[in-house]
Amino acid sequence: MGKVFEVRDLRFRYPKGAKDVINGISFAVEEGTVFGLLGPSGAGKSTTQRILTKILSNYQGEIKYWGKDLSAFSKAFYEDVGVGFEMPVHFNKLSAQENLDYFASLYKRNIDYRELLTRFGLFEARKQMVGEFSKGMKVRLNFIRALLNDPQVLFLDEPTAGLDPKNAKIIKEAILEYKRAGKTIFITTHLMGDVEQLCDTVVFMNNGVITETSTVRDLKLKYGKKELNIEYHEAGKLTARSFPLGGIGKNREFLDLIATKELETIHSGETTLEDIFIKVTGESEHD
Amino acid sequence: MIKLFHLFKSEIIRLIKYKIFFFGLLVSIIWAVIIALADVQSVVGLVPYLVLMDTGMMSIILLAASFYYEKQEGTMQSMLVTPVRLSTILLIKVAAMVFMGIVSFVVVVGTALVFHDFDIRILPFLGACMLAVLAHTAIGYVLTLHSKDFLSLLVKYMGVALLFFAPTLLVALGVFSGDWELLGLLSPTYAAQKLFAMALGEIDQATLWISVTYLALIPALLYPLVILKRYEIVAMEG
Ligand SMILES: Nc1ncnc2c1ncn2[C@@H]1O[C@H](COP(=O)(O)OP(=O)(O)O)[C@@H](O)[C@H]1O
Ligand SMILES: [Mg+2]
Repeated sequence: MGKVFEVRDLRFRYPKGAKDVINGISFAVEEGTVFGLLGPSGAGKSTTQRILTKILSNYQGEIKYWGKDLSAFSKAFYEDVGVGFEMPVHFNKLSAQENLDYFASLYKRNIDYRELLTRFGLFEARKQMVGEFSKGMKVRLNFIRALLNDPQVLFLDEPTAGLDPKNAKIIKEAILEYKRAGKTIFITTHLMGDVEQLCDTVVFMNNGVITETSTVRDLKLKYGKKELNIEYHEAGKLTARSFPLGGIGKNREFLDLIATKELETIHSGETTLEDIFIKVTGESEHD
Repeated sequence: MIKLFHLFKSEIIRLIKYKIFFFGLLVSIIWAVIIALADVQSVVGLVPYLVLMDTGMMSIILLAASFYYEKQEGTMQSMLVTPVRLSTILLIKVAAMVFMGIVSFVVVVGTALVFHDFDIRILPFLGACMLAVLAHTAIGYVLTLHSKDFLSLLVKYMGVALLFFAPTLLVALGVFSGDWELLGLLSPTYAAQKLFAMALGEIDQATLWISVTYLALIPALLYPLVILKRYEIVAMEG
């Protein structure tokens, strides 16, 4: 599998900005995976996406796209790339269908978006003005728009932010399905749930630097404590205890306990990604 | 070409849906009513002014309205991530403005010709109209792209409108006359007005060529050298 993006020592400062908002980050995005850029608000996630999607150009460092310098790509770059912005962007006084027709007309290759409209529950509303859409409908339409050219690489900036669980689930399932079709997906998010359910690789970012690059599994192995939590009855009271999972079969205390007590529950416990996020970035995800 | 036409059609549809087209047309229809009711003598004098209002100052307002809708909705940034070049997008927008100028020309001049009997050089008049739109929208873009919102644009617009109409006023009041009048051509609005007047009356070769050259130079310089760059920056900022 090839590397879609290879980023080395990327730095960026906005033209009117006082300091660099991206401070030398390096990472790689593998073909056919979901890559997650995770961090609190203001970390520089959207800026990074804007650089990778060639909206912002005056960066320092090296970005390779399919092994070639990103800045060498012409506008044809966008024939294979789909971009979902943080805020749904539409012509509000046009209908959903008119919006999709408009953007579809800008590409050489088009998908039949009617099937997607149906799937995302927008087919009935396709002739309605987008300005009258609910937030969830706008986000779903935004997602369809990013797929109009059947992109090889899909960028989604906070795809589930502000969505109710039902809408968030629809989007997440679509992302995973897109990955199964062999496509590469780059998402930014400040939500743990997204990373846990979607991402193969995750990069933690804060204040323009990367604090950790890993897979979800490795992160849990590295930061996660594995333990066994037991609740049992003792002297008429419910009591709880934890044992380290390692060597549990030779743990006398544990074996005695399960042999002699009346057990209520046994669970294996793992540190959640949310705990890890707080540890790695030093901030809570809702800051 | 097919793509360009499709883009142009989409832009016109957008202008219609956003009522910008309607607003422009409404103003032209008001002029048409005035023309229909006036006598032939005043019509010859009125037509150049009324066409000037539409193709000059009106086209700046319509362009600005269209621009701020897009800016507000953030669709400009989304155009940056498509295979279409920004210069193409700008070209389409200008073409749409020229199209609206032609529509207003047809309404105003058409009404004049239906209701009154007088001589007019239609094609040169139409050409002058398009030049006027091109020059004024170029200035309109410079103003719009350097204003942070519609209100601050309006303030700049008033200043510019006053400046551009100054020669018209000064000549009407008799302050400007003779060779001094040539100085008035520095105002693209006045230059357009002179061209329109010539389409209905006598031609002065010097004024004709100075005006045409000047009106053509404004967009030819402003679009590639100033507007395109600035448009990209504004679109990038989203
Ligand atoms: N257009 C801009 N001009 C100047 N600074 C900006 C601009 N956009 C974002 N920033 C700054 O860059 C930093 C990173 O922002 P952003 O990439 O949007 O973060 P995130 O997406 O992680 O919330 C923030 O400090 C923000 O204030
Ligand atoms: Mg962001």
